[in-house]
Amino acid sequence: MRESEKKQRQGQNIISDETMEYVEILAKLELSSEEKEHAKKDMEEMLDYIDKLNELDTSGIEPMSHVFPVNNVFREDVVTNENDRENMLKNAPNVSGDSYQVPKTVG
Amino acid sequence: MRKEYEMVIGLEVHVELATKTKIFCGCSTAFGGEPNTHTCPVCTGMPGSLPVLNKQVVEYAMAVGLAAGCSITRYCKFDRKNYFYPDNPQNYQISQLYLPICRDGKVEIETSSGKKTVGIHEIHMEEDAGKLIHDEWEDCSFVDYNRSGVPLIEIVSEPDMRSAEEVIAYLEKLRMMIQYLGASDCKLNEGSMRADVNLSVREAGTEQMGTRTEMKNLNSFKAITRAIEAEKNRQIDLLEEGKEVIQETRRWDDVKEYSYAMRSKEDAQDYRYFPEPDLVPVEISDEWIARIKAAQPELQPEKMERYQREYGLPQYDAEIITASKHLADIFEETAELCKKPKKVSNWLMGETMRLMKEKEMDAEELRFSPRHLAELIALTEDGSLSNTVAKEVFEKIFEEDIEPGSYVKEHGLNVVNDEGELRNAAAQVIKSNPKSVSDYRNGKEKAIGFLVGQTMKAMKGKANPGMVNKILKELLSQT
Repeated sequence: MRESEKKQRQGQNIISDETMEYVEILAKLELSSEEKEHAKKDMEEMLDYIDKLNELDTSGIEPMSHVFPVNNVFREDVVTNENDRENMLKNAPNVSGDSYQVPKTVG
Repeated sequence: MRKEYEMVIGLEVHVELATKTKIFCGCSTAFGGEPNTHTCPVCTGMPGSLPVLNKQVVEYAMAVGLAAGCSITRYCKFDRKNYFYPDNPQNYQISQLYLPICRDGKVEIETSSGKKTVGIHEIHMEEDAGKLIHDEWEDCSFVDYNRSGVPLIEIVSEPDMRSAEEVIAYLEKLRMMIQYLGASDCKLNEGSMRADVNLSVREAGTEQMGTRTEMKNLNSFKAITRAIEAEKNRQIDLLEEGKEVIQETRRWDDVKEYSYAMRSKEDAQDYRYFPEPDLVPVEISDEWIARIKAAQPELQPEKMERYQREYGLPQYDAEIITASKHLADIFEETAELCKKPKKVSNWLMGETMRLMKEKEMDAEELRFSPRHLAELIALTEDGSLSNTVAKEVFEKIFEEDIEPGSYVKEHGLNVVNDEGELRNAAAQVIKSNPKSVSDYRNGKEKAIGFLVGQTMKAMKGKANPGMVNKILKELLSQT
């Protein structure tokens, strides 16, 4: 079925099982085989879509790093935030005393 | 026979900048606050929060770059470095990969093998991570985000160093320069200066670089030296056994004097950098650079030269005192107060250095007030304190920063100029030391030294030795 699906698609990009596994490791996700196939298809389509942009001739055009023609937006070095620990900690699923609690992480 | 190897070392030095606020938000950067009291939605990575760059961070980075002879990148920007770790609440660190603010600098160092230049590859701006505290009993860790978003510069050297001695000389030079600029306090033990060591070995005389490892968690110059020696030997042993050095990050345990590999295969080092979309680029004009250059404070070489010219210090003293900005500040303030720069220099070069060595302290840890040293100098100058007692009082100033005037009064340490009291003490000494007395009278003039010493001892050091000498001679000439 996977093969036939690929044939139906116009694009050239194919996400291999190895790439899929690598992306899972980087994203720290564990996907079921069904989800994996779905994600692969999505990613292939995204890459095909991006390939469309490569059809444009961009030689001689400066790479853009921001969509707005704005630079040098700064803050002065003045403390503006007070202690708001109580509210900040409310954002966390697990709290212990004054700190955020996470699974033991050493390294 | 074992082949000859040489080390190739490059450093990545992280320095926390001395700004009042974090790099992208208005939270305080003060060290040692209660956990999570200096945090906000930006530095805890809450969705929808937006970073705004602290201008002072750019100016400190420029100042350090200019002092290290770097060229300033006129159009620079930030990038996202993506990785998962609980001390990094956004799941990315805002850093600079493609257009770092400074490039191509150099630092001159001097070691026992002579002068040398260490190249600076680049300096970039980035944010620090939070702090993890591990629970010893429960299977969990706690996160304090006070440090999250504290501004850092990372200074990346070229692989130009060949020994631990060169590494330390380079770090001391960097630290001195940055402290003079006021851009950071550079305390290794508090983590405001941290060095990662990239090290490889190769057969001496060959050009090809070996495989390098990166070593982290080095919290003192001593730890750095030990870690370099241990890693050198570990890599040489591997090569001698015909094994390969694996490119990896290793964590140094300074108690066990051993390093171990930090990351497993599951933690691929693929940070998928991309331009940071929440920040606009930074454009740096000639005028801005000129302004930073003009505001540059006096750096160590100029200060050292001025101390010789203005205060008449010998070059050696000027060099030692200016090696630490903190020590130089103490010197100048004290000299300003007591107007006796040479005396101040003597106290710093003599007793201060001796006590620092004895207590294994760094000049940065000196805590006594210039005002108290200036007072002590005044007390010795007007003759109210003998040199021996002054040294004792100085030790108290050094340790507890006591106020010498009242301390001397409280403990009755003033020099006794009361002739009657001195005469009594001298007469007592003559009485109980007939041997020395007869030696002296029989022409052995040196014997008086012993009698002076005994009298000083009887006076607990609080007598004027000149006066004691005079009185003793007078008494001994009487029959």
